[in-house]
Amino acid sequence: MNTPDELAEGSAPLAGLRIGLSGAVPEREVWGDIQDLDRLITRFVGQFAGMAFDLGADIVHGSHPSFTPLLIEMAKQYCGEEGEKRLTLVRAESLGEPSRYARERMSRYANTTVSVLPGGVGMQFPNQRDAALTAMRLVLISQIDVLVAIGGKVHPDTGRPSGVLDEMALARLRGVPCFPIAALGGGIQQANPEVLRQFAAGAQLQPEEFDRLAVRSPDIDLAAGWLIAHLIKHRDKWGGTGFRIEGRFGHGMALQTQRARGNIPRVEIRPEMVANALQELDPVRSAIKSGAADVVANLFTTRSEVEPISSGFVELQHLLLDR
Amino acid sequence: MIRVLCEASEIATGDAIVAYLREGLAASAVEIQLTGSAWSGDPEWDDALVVLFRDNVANDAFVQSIDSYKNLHRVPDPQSGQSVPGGFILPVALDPAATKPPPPIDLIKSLTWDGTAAVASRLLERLKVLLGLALMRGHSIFISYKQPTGAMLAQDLYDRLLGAGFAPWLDAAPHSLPVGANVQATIHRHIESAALLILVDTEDVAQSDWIGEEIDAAYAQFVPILPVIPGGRNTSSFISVKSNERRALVQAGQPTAGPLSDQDWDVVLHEVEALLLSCYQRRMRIIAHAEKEFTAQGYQWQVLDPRRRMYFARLEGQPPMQVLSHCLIHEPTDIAALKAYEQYLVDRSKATPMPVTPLCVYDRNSILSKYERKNVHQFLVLYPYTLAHVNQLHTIISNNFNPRFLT
Repeated sequence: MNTPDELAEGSAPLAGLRIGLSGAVPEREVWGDIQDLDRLITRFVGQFAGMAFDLGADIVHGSHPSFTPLLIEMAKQYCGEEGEKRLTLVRAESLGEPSRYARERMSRYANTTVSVLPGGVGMQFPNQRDAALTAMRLVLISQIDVLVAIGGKVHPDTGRPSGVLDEMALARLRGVPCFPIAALGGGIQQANPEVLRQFAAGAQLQPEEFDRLAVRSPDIDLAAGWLIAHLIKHRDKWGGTGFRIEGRFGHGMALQTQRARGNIPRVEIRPEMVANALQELDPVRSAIKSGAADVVANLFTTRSEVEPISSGFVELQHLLLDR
Repeated sequence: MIRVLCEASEIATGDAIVAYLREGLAASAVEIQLTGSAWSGDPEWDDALVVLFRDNVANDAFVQSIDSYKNLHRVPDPQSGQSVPGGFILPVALDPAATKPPPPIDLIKSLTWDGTAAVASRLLERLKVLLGLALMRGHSIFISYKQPTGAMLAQDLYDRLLGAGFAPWLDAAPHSLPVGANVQATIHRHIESAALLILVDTEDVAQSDWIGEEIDAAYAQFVPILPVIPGGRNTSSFISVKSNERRALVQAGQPTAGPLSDQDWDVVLHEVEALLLSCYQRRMRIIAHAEKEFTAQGYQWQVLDPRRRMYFARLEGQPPMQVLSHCLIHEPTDIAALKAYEQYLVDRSKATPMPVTPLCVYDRNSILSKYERKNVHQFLVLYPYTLAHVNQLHTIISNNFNPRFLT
């Protein structure tokens, strides 16, 4: 990884950094005293993505329908002229297809990866949507160096766990540094500040820097800028977690053939991998609920190992880098 | 500039309103204007005309003043692209028995003045809402709907928004997407004129590919979407809009979407105003944010010219860093505003030859793209300066304005 001095020689300050972006606009009843929280969050996403692309970074996102058009537009504005695709959109096949026109824009300005649970396998999980999302999250996490999380649904009616916390937990369990922007509320705040500090451990944040992102203040409009500055300052610390997915590419078609036809890479995830991940999440979810920061800290010090399925399969990261 | 237009006989009330607005709108100048006089000065982004009236009979002087204001503040018609008379007008009735304004502003609903703090506060808030609209990239409020189910509700929204002083535009989705046309480009250009997209969210609206594309384009361009959902449902027909937490639920228990009750209209208006007001309030924070970023990194901050939003920041050291900042309220692609700052720098350099780093700070939903930057900088030839989003300040200041981080 380049040092800041080496970077000063000419490359873009965040060149090669792969930033995961996780989150959603929370339900209105939890906005509190910020009357325009939705606008703040979408502004954060737009400004952060624009600055990240402008400074050479890649962004990976789980295809949330309200963020996806915005991220594609940012990719078009800041990378479109270069012909590079530095936005990757990951989505779960079972959770629906984008519209025809959305797919057209995505194919022009973004890489797309579809995560797949093999046919019928989804049925073995009590919550199929959860399983599909977990598979998608594993694919996303395998492609990032850091994860930025903002907002997130709270699900007050169903009591479902916060997706954004699940995504961060899976990332932290695999050694990916996380930046929870708790100051903008939402699902992230289901974890108390001490628990969130454990999510942010490894992100090189001083206590006052963590507080600035975690505590609501009139300056929260500036969070995107602070975070970009922080990523630049510690550029040499990001990357190299070693987590990767070796997946089978479906339907018996050769990988090269799929790409030549413009097909979108589909990553079939082993159900055992999803089951393991869901099992990993259980104690984290419990610890978040009980506010046990020490338990969360202990859980995050273990990194998962990836077992290859068998020889001869192509690594996902190699596929996506092959532009 | 906010001007309070009144007859000479109402000048005492006019002066009272001016005083109140001056306090509440620190960033805008407020003056009295007597009927018969024309609007003076060049049009500015924060121009609005508060019109005091006592009856609904117009006289020539009254009409002349309003017409001169509207002709000076022309806006593009979203459909034809032609410029048409425009500008924000807020009628204020001085007699509660005569609240309908005289022509040519008889279609706009007035506020009734009673001298109380509550009404004064409401007037101030209405102006901030209009200024919030002025800060959005487009000024029109699009009403997007599917025929025939959404037509009546859409027309009612149009009439009521017009009456509230906004510039609505009815946007009926075509029955099918035009064949062979570059649909996406057309829709994206179309959405550029919109400050807000109101979606008449009937059950069948998601069947429209055109509206689906409009929604995607609105998300891509930060145009807020407000679904107006009739018939007792509480969630949008579009998946992407379902997660949008702003919505106006109307006509519960009504099988078909029709004209709104006054109560339902209040629900919609409240949502529209809250959104525009927040836009205005957020943009006005740019000065405080810029000051915070400089002082947090050890600079001393000094106000040079509050009306023109010019500030001086100095960092002791060898050599000292001196930054002359302008906090831009406008869009950073507004060439006239950018050239005004350039001229300020030219004039200042003649009067005060002191080495400074000139900086123009802006705030909008996204940073300037490479194309926009190139386009803007070709106009700044007299005195080039750094143009930076307020969220870029932290990186730029901490790296001593190293050009590598300015991109």
